[in-house]
Amino acid sequence: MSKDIQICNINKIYNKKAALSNISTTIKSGTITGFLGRNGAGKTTLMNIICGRRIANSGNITIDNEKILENDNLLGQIYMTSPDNMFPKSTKVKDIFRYTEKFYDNYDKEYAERLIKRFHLDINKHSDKLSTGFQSILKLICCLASNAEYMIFDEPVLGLDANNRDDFYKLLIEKYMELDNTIILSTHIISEIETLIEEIIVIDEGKILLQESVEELMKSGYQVSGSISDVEKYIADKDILSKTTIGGLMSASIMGQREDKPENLDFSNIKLQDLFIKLTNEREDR
Amino acid sequence: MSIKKANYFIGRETFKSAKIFTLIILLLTAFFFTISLIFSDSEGTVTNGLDMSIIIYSFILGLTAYSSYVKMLFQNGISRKTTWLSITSVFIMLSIAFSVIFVLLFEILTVLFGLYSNIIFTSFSADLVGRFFPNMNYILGVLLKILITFVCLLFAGEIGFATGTLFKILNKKWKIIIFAGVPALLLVVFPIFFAFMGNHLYSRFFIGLMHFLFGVKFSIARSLISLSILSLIFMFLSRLLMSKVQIDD
Repeated sequence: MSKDIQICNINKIYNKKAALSNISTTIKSGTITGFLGRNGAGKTTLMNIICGRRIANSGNITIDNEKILENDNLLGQIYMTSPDNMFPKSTKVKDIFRYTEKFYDNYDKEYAERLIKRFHLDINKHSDKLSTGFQSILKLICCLASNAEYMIFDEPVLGLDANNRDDFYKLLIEKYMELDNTIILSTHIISEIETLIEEIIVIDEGKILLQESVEELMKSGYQVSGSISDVEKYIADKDILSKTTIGGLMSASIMGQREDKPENLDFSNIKLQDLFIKLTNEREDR
Repeated sequence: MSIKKANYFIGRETFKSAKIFTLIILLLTAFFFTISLIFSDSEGTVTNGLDMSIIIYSFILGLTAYSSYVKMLFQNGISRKTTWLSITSVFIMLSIAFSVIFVLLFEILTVLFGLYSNIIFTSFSADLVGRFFPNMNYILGVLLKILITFVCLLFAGEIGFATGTLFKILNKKWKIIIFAGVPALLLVVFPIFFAFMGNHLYSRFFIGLMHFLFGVKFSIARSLISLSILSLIFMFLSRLLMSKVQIDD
């Protein structure tokens, strides 16, 4: 039995404009996949279609040859958090946890209570009275405690401070190690998730621009830093993604394999964000 | 299994609002009863107010079902079909509970008003039963009143649910056309247009249509059948509309 999510020829049209054009891909089970793309690229639409909140104009999404749409069994194995507040406005936070416990058979109540204390979430407030950050915390706790087989996070760290973001990433990894479940993560803060994700899907203008393992992608380039003159000399004949100068130092991201390694320069892995910018800009230039 | 989970959520949330509504009705009734005792010399008939308020409550409950329940159920992995099934089944259960509770309350109030004041307390269902079956057995009369109230509540809830869901799935242009254009056409443009043609043509057509749809003028059985069929039509319509519902990105 394959637990992969099979996405087959998905098309979605909004106001006569294609939001998704013939998207086909497989999201491997037991991986953390990052959905990256610029604003309006179609990431949220695709995630909403995966969990049945939106209906595609054509195509289908299956798990083990079973369509997800209108399938209570499969939908019950997916938990998606989104920036939109899906909880009833006049319901208290503690009741939202009570309901989530009822909906998800593997819900871990003690774990949720631990996280409530850790994040100082006021459970007696109504969900719409929480700040943006605490609304995100509420959604994240519900999702993590649900122990769902498929967890989808759309902009999960919206409004969270650096400490809470760091905490969330740690909790996410812990949960992933514990359950070996399938996680889809979409955020614009690429630098924060590059060490988390294993697979990357770049969506641009409703199409998949790239799908690759992060490990392979990292091999496609490297970063070099050193004094301005040394770096300038080194990168003269190279395919440069980006370069930044701070004081007398320069660092540059370069596409391609590293051939030589001068001693006066430092080398490190390329940044995912630089690759992403290069990829999406290239498409814009075309 | 999923419907059980959905029913737990909708049932609990509906019970919370129904509890508050019932409390308000009881307090209002107690208030009016006290007033009628104070002015015990006055005579008259108190009718329809309370059962109309329950019907309006049922309509509003249906109208707000989307914002109150649908998003939360979608969040927790419930399909459109199960969502509709759950909302409809909770509406049926609530309509049964409300019709039993309020008809019995009306019966108690009728007796109390009869004993302590000169005001005759009656309700819409009591009016109907009294008009068509003046000599009906008391128990059968109460059961018939419960049935009439149940069908009215179900009809109001379903029409509200279908309207609320329709409002959600339409875009701005169609919302204006349907929710402003149609009432304006029926209640302003047509009456004025037909008034110029004389003979109260439109009023007669409108009243005739209402009689045809609800059958109140003819018999209770006709009325019950009409309302049941209309409820089923709106139930079917809300199922159709639910299958088109999508959450905004």
